Amino acid sequence: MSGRRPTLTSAPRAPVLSALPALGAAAAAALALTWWAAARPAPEELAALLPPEPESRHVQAVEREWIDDAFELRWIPAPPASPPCPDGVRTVPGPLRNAVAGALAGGTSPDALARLGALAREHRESWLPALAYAVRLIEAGRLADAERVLDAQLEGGAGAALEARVRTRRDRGWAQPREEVLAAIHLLHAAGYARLARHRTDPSLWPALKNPIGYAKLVADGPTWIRGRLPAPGCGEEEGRSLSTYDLYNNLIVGYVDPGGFTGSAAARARELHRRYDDPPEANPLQEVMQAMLAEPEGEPAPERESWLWAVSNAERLLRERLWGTAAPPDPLLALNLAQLYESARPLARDEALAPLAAGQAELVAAARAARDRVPETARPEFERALVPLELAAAVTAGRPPAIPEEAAAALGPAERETVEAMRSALRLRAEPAVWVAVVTGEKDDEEAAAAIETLGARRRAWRSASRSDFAASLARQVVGGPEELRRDVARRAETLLLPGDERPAALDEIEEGLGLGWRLAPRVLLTSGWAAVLLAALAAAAGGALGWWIAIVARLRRSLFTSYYRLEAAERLRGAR
Amino acid sequence: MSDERAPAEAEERADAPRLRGVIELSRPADEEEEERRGAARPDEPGRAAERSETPSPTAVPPRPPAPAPPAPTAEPAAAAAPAGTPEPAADEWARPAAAAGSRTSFEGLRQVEQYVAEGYEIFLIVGIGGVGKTELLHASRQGAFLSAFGRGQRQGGRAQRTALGTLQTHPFAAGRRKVVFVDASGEDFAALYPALQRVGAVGPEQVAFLQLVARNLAGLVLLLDLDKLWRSREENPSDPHQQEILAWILELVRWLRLGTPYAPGAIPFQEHVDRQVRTLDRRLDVPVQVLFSRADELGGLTLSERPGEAWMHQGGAGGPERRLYPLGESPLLLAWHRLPVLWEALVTHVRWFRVDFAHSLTLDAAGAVADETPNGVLYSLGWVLQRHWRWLRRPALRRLVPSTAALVRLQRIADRLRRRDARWRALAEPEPFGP
Repeated sequence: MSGRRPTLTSAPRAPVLSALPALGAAAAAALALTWWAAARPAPEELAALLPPEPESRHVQAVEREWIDDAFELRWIPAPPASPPCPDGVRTVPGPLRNAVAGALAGGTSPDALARLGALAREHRESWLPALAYAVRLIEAGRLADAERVLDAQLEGGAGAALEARVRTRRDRGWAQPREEVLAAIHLLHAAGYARLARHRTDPSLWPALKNPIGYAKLVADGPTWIRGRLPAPGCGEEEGRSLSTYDLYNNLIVGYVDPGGFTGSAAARARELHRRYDDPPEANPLQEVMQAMLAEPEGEPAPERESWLWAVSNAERLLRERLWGTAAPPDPLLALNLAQLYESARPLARDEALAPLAAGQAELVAAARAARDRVPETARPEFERALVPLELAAAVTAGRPPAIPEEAAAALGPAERETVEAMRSALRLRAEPAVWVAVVTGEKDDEEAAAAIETLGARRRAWRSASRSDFAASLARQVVGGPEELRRDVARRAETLLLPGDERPAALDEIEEGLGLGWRLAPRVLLTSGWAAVLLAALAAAAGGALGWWIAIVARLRRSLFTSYYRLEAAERLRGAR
Repeated sequence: MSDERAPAEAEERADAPRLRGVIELSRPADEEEEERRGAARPDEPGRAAERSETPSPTAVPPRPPAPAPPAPTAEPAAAAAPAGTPEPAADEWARPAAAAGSRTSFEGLRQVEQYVAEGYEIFLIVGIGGVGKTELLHASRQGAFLSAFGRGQRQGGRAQRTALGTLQTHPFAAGRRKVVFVDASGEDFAALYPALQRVGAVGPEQVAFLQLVARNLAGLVLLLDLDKLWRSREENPSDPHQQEILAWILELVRWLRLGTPYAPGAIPFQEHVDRQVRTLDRRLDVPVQVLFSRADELGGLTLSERPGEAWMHQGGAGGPERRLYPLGESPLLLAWHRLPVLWEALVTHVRWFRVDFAHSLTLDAAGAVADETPNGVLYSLGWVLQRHWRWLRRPALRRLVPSTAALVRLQRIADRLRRRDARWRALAEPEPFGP
């Protein structure tokens, strides 16, 4: 009261008395909740009832949301392998070969690039200087210039003529000069890469991505053509100077997804999506995803998803028809992008395909990690960052803490690093069911577990809620179809576990079917359910608040009787005068 | 503040006929003639003998005098309503007053009606003439609203007293609440006290203004001037009767709020009110704040200097006397020990009350305003205006909160257990006050 100017509408009050209703309400609500918590099953009891590996579908969904919120999928196209080797090229005149070789020796220096540019302009009739110049421009990061040079070649230049010859010979069944086919493949691949790297989509993108795959069959041998090498014109097949068919598929799939926007004719789409086989989801989850999309009411995928569906179809063909018998492609970029494709397929997949998708994705991530040394240096940081969310997703599925290399963790931003730490904590807790149960039900005896749950921060609430749903589901699933008495007992425990706002597992409804309303109205169920906590707390708060209000009113009345406001105001005036 | 007295008395005499005009509306013509021939007036000098006959404050509160004969126009007698009779409807209450035509005789009554119609909470300030009711309201006036205390209504820096037969309304800024204080002339209140009626009797017509206010009452402020009460200056016959007047007003307000209407007949009005109130279970459920006004002038006042009380002082008349020191007194204990009539009335008729000192301004030796800062006013009025009173008027909550009388009883028990009950046996010496 002191320091306050007396006003007509404010009789002097003690702050404690004014706060008494709120204090009473809070204290009563806290008491009610304490009582309610004491009536719930103890964590040890719950842990003993849970199966060794509790269900984790809900908590996985929450953890995946954290990943989706913090990370974006990074689709990485395969860059051109290397410039051609002029000395080995036979279809180009010697002086030009020598001039190009001389210019290439200068690397990406401005002088060398200028010389290559001059050669490309002077010798438009030859693909060699243009290809060498475009690859060097890409290496120098001048993607727009490279795209311009390649467009000039492929739209009416020597490149177009070269591709036309290759197509004619293929259609007529004539023998193909290997060097020209390889030149066409590398020209188109470089053009496609330049566009993908700039996230540009236009009609000329799709021939640049699709045709090289067709041409690759012309230079590879038999059914194993997929594993064949596609050396740069004039070069040997050693890695670093050659492409692989995986690179071509990789870029096609990346193109369909990012930038996307591809739409085919109905006939082409039907041809592409038709399969003669119907694999089970666990063996071919991508086919299951395709079927789920085609089963949509319209019978056709939504236009915005068509391009993505083409990517899935190509990936499915690649894995089913080309790599049958192998776990994953040995190419790190393709493995990474396919794993991302699996990840993007999850929201559209039916329940039965989720586990196979997760398993396949984990294999792809492992393959990408194993072959990471083969990623070109220029794409390595991007590759490492793109791999992190996939590693996390794989860890979520496996229920074990993720193993993120320090190199990859260092490349992450603060928000991403925080998510990685939260995931580590959550998965470490989940790895031991007893600890998991304890932290979810509020027991924090284990200091390490308590520290781990603290690192989740604001995510803690949703994670606990999902965990409770999983526990309830795990409890319920054990007695589905069991005797009524057992179902009744388990249902009560599962019901008391859930709090308001928690997702109710379907298994719980399943075991409660046929129990009737009577058991729900049993005092033990009513008083220990989550809603009872809310109701009890509200009632107790109302009663406590009313009691506090009453005490405050009576105390104020009593105070006002034996307090002289005349003296009080004079004392305040005296203090103010000092 | 106390300097209101001189001009106030002059105005009082000038306004007296107006009040009489109101009171005597139903009087027989022969009574008026008798008065014209020079019958003594309540406010005339020369009534010292009668004043000296008034009972001492320590005596049992006087009941109103014997009932006057009913008015000639009175209808056949109607029996008083039995105890526990439900509250009458508003129109039932309005009938007698409206029939008598006295409600509109008070200037400002229509404004009060308008405020009631607009849902204002009505607070009434009560006290005899010159105790400083208007000045107290002025001292607590706040806000950026048009003030009723304009320059033209103030004299010498002080509020002009309320004219006889006039109800002044003072809307106050009290948060979002609509609050209005009703300020009637002190003489109007004094005139309601039957013992001061020289001619005729108090009837329903005289309480018309109180009736309207009481039905919509949200709080009461009673002002009592201890100086006038105990010094017996013989200036105003109502001065020594302040306790009795306030007690009667409380009784009237209680009856008007909770009792059954009066039907003119065999039972005189005062008796009807008295019988009715005795049968009522409920006490007034609005807060009542008793203020000992002009507290700045009460310092050193002898407790209580009355003729014939010298024998009480140690060593005879010249012995040490207990003198008043408002800043060091416990107002509640002062009322308990020294104002038994008022205390009894409060305990009997009021559920929640408190007692305090207050002064609105300080005068210098020459009678000029030396300090306009009020003391003890804002918090005391704030107590009456507290929001929770509205809740406590609800029947379900009313009984949950102990009355002031009950709290006092509890406190006495607690003091007895702690061996600190000496303060209930004798008025303790004032506590020192100062830096």
